[in-house]
Amino acid sequence: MNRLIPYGTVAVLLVFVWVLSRVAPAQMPQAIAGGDVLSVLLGDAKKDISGAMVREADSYFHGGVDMDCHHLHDHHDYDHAHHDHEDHAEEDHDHEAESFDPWRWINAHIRAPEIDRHLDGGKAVEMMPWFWVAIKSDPHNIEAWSTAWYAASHLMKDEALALRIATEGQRLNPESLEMACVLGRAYRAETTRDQEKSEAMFHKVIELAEGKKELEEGDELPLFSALGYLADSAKHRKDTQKLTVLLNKARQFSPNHPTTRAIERMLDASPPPALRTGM
Amino acid sequence: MKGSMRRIGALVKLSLLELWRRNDMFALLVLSLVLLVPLSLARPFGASGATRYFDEVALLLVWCYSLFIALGIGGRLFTSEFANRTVYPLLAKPVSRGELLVGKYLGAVVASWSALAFFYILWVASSLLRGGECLTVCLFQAFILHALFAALAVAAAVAGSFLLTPSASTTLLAILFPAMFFFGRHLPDYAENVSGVLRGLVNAFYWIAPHAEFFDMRQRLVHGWGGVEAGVFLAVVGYGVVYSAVLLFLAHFLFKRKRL
Amino acid sequence: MEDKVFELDGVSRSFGSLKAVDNLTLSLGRGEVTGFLGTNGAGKTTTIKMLIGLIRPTSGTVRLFGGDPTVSATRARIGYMPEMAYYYPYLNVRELLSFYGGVCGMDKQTVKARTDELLEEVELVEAAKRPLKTYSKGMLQRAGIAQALLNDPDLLVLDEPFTGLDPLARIHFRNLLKKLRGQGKSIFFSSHELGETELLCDNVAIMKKGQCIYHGPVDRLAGDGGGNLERLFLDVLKKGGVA
Repeated sequence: MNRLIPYGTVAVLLVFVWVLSRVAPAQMPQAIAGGDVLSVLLGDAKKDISGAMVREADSYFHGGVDMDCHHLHDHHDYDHAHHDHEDHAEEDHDHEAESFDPWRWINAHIRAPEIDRHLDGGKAVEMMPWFWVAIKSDPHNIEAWSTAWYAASHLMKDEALALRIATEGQRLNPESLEMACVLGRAYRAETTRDQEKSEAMFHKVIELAEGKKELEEGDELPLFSALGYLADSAKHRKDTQKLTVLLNKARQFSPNHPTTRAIERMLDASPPPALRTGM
Repeated sequence: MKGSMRRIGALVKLSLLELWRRNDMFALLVLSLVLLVPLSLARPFGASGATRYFDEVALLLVWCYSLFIALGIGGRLFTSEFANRTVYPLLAKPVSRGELLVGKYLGAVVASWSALAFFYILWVASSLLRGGECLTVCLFQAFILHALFAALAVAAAVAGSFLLTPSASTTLLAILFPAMFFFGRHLPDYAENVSGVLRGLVNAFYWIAPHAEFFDMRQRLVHGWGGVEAGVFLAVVGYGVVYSAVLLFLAHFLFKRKRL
Repeated sequence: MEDKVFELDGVSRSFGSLKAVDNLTLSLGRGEVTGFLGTNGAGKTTTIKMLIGLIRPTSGTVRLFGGDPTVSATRARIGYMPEMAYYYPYLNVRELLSFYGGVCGMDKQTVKARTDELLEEVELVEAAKRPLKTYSKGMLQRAGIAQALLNDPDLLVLDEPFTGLDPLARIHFRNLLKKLRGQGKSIFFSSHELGETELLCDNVAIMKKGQCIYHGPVDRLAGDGGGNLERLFLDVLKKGGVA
C-alpha cells in the first residue's frame, strides 16, 4: 500500500494541474492554451525539447557525432588520429603547446569519432523518430517538418512518406510560407506528381507573402523558391503571360533577387516579345 | 585468508539476496516493458525500419536504472545496518571494519552488476530479435565501462552515507552523476566564460568531480562504431578503479571514526 | 586457560563532555552468569560496546579472553545479541544463520548442522522458511539468540534480552539461558527485568551515572536486607552502594 502512495500522489498532482489549467488557464505559468497535460506541465519548454530533438536527428545524420562536441576534436585531438588535411596539421602544431588535458583526451575518444560519415538511403529512417518527437512536442516547429520532409524525399527517396509529412505539416501550419512551399515541392516529385496541387501551393506561398506587411526572416527563401518553380512550369508551358505576372510579383518583393533575374532571363528567351511591352 | 574470503563471500551473498528479493528490480522491469514495448512498435510517420532510437532510449534507461540501483544499494549499505541495529551483532563477530566495508561493498557491486547484466541481456536479446549485430568488442567495452561506473557510484554512495545523512547524500549524487554525465565535458567551456574565484572553482570541480561521461559508450554502440582504442579503454578503467578506491578509503576512514 | 572471561580495569569512556562510563573495574569468571543493572543512561550499553570491541575506552584497559576485543580474532569466542535488532527482513532465519556463519568464517556443513540444532533450541523450525519481516518481536529475539549462539561461544553478551517479550516467550527465554548456564557458558546481560535477573544470575553489577556501585553475588545483596531484588536495587541506587 505504501508503495502506491508516490504513484497516487503523482497521479493526483497531474489531475490537479490539468483541472487547474482548464479552470484558470491564464494563471498557469507558461501555459499553452488548450494544450494537453504535457503542454501545461512543460509550457514553453516543449519548444526547447522540440529543438533538441531536431539537433538529435542532426547528430544521427552525422553518424551519432555529438554536434555540441565538435570543439573536443577540433582543438584537442592530441593523437591526430583523424586529421587528414594539411591545414589541420598546422592547427595541431599550435595546440601542442597547450597543456595536456587527459579528461578532454578521454572524452574526445570515448564518444563517436568525428569522421565524415552520413546517414544515406534507407538508413536515414533512423532520424525519423526524433523528427516525430520534435513535431509532437511542438507542431509549429517548421524546421522539424521541413527537415523531416527533406530526409524522406532526398535521403530516403521515399516520396510518398515525404508527401505525408509535408501534407500534415502544412495542415498544422497553414500560415507558414515554408510549409506551403515544401508541400508544393512534394507534389512535384516523380511518383507523387500533381502539377495542379503543386502550383496551388506555390501560389499559396505568394498569397501568404502578399498578405504580410513585411516579410519575416526565412520567408524570402520559400517565396522565391515558389516563384522560381512557378516560373519554371510557365516556361515549360511557354506561358509568357504567366511569366510576366510572376516577374512583376518577384520585382514587387525584391527587384534584384537572383530569382527575379532568372525570371527576367526566362522571359528574354521566350517569344513573343510583344507581350513584354505591356509590363 | 580463507576465512576472510568466506566472510566477504557471505556479505556478497547477502547483498545479492536483498537486491533480488526487493521489488525494485521487478518494478524497473515492468516500467521498462511499459516504455519500450510501445516504443518498439512505434512507426513514426508510418515509416518502418528505424531501430537506433530504440537502442538509444533502451540504453539510456539502463543507465538510469544502473544509477538508481547503485545509489540505492550503496546508500542503504550501512545506513540500514545502523537503523536496524544489525551492525552491532555483525561487528561483534570476528570481522574487522575493513573486511565488513570491502565485503558489503563488493556485495553491492556484484548485486548492481547482476542487475546491469540482466538489463544488457534483455537489450542484446531485443537487438538480436530485430536483426541487429550487437555482439561486438564495442558491446564488451561498453558493458565493462558501465559496470565500472556502477562500482564507482556504489563507492560514492557508501562514502556519502558516512559523510552526510543518507537522503542528502543520495540526492546529491543523484544530481551530480547525471549532471556530470551530460555536462561534465563542457565544464572547461563554462570556465572560460567566467572569471575570478568562480573560474577556479569550476576548474577545480572539473578535475575533481567523478566524470560519469567517460564510461558512456552508448553513442558508439547505437551508431555501430567500433570499440575504443585499448589505451583509452585502459585509461578509463584505471580512472574508475582509482576513483572507487579513493572513495572506499574515505569511507573506511569515516567508518572507523563513526561512533557506534 | 584464563580464569577471567573478561576484565575491565579502570575503564572510562567519554562522549564530548559526557562521561558515560567512569573508572569502571569489572570482571566475569568462567561459567558465571552476571546481570548488569542500572537505570537508563547509567552506562550499561556503552560498557557492553567496549567489552565487545565496538568502541574503545577513553582510558583504562579492556581484556577479552586475555586479548584486545577491538582485534577481530579476539571476538571469535563471543556471541552478542543487541537490544531489539531488526534482522534482514528479506532473509529467512536459515539464511540469516547461514550469513552469520559465513561472517564467522565457519564452513557450510558446520553452519548447517548448527542451524538445525539451534532452530530446534529456539523453537523456530516451523517458521524457518518465513521471511524475518513477518516475525513477531519474540521470534526476532529468538532469531537473535540463535545468531549469538551460532559459533558456540564461550561468552554470551546480551543487551536487554527480555525487552518486548510476552510472558510465555520470557519463560522460554529464561529456560534457554538456564540451559546455557548448565552447559558452562559465561553469560553477561544487561536488563531492567530484576525478577529475571534474580532467577538467572550468580552475580549482579549495578551501574549508576557511569560508575559501578555494586558488584557481587545476588545472594549477598538479598541477604543484606532480606527482600526481593527490586527493593534492594532501589535501596542501592538511593544509597549509592552497599554497606
